Amino acid sequence: MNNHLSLVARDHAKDAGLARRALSGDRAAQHELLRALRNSVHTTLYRVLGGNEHMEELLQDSFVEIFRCLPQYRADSQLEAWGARIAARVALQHLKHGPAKKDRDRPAPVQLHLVPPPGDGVHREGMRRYYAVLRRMQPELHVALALVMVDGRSLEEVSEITGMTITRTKHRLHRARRKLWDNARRDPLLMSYMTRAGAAG
Amino acid sequence: MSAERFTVAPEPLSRQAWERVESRVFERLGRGEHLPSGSIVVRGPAPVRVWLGAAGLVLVGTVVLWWGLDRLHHHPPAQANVAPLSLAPSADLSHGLGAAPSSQAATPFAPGAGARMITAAAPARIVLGGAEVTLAAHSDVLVSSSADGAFELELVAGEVECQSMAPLGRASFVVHAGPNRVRFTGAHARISRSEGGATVSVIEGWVRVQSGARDLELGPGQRWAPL
Repeated sequence: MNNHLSLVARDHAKDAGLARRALSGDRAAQHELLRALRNSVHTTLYRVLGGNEHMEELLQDSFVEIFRCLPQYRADSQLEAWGARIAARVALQHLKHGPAKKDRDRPAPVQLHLVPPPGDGVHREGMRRYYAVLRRMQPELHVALALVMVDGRSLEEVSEITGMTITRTKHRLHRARRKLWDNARRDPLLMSYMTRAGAAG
Repeated sequence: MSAERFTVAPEPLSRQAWERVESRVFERLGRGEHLPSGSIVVRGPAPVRVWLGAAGLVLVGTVVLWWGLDRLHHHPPAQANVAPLSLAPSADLSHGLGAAPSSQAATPFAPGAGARMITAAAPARIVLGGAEVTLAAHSDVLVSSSADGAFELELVAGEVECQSMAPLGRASFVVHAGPNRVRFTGAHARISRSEGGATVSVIEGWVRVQSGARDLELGPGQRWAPL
């Protein structure tokens, strides 16, 4: 336990050092920071939005935002987790104001897959349909549901990212999950995807 | 919640895509996009709805002001039946109050000072620190203050209605009615005295009544009359 705590403390100290160097204008440290965070930032954006569409712009926005917020980093959490939270906020802004809003407002395309494609295709199609349901929800709900169900975030983190209170987050997540399952009951492929993906509850 | 968790592995981006992202991020950092905006902020025109909202507020404000002034002009506020009265230090009011009680400038009540108030056919209102006391007609009270700043009022005859607004931690207000002691810490209650004894009726808040060895608390709507 003590070893684990000292490792965590060492990681945080290393993160704080990197953040400090990047903040002082050290270009090498800034590159190092970007590379250290790129996986967690990309994973969060992908899990919230369900694909790599507009991903390059979103990654750029996330990193610019990370550098902007760097003076506020207090090393009380891992730099990766902190960066991922910023990325989730960028994804939320994208859903609210970015091109994704136009995509969401467009009517859903007619589904032509009467027979689902086999193997990995089922997974891919199921995931596409899952995110299609999320995109029809309010951006805060979309992000909250993706962060909890896909990214495994806690209610507290989701509440902090979306700016909703914990009670409100809990209440709205409950409603959103019900809506999601209602959709899955009408869509066998989505149901199959959600069941296989481990969302059966 | 944790049982409902998907496993979605992101499709990796190509090396070229990462290189593009990295170079563009540093281009943007070079332009200072990450820096907090300076003190000079150029704002565009406020949206129409902001102006409409402001105009609406001004209109409502004007109407309310006009209505208030008109009402004041045509219907001056009715004189209260009970005029406020503030006690002067060691005021001697034993001569009694007439039908139209006089009003004096508020003066702090000096600790230890005492005053007797007798109302005639009209009630009177006095303000004692954070408490407001209304004396019913034909009432007789002795007002004093203890060294710790609490006001004490002895009800000799008649009825008083006390509203103590003292916040917590401030000196309380005490009414004596014969052997009964009624302590206020932010309450509204009526105490009446007659030859048969005294009655305490609580309107709001809580009061503590001490009568001989008995000590009880009364809440809103409760009434107590010691034997």
